[in-house]
Amino acid sequence: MSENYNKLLVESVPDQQSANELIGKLFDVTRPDAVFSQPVTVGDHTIITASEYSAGMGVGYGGGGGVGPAANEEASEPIGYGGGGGGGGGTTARPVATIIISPSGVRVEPIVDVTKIAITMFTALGAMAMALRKMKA
Amino acid sequence: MANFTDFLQLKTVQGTAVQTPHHTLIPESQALIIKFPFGGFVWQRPTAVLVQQGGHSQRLPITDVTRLATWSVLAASLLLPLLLRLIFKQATDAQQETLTAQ
Repeated sequence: MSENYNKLLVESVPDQQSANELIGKLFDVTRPDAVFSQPVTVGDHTIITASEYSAGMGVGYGGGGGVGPAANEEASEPIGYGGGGGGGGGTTARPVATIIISPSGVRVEPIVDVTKIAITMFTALGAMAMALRKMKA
Repeated sequence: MANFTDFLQLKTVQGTAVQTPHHTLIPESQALIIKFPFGGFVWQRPTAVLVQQGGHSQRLPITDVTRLATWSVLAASLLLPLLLRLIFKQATDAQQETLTAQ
């Protein structure tokens, strides 16, 4: 179509490659070190925290161009082209358990997120109330 | 041709051993990886810890109590209305049968 459009496409290739490299790095974090914390020793006791985590990421890009009708005979080739991209991601982590190592032995103590359970319970109760009301109607 | 495992992976990985004066601990975790051409998702959770002490090895599972509780609440919220509806329907049917018999 035009040199400029080709240039735009060629220039966007390194950006796409770096985006793909960034996505690749997301999968490199699947190591147990990411889930288990460094041991903390206090006296005879050593504590390790185990957490659950999730991460998600996405990118998108595109470009395009076109040739329009000439406004007058002097304009040789009115063209338009453009490109763009965007991305987003997020991570969440939540402690699941604590591993306590003492001279007497090793024990795993669960960490209970009461707030999360309460929020789920209230949401579920609300949904149940609505479902029961619909059933009665 | 792209393999299914290229898009979805579930793997169990063991980490580096943690040495303490009395024990050796090997952490174990499970990872779910979903890959898309323009993105991906990773979910990793701790599953167990292997404890080695004087040639004796023990596996201590890590239970996510919060996740268990939230899923139980969600399951109950789905099942309970269905159960109540069944009971209510049976009671109504029985009542109607009694009225017809009379």
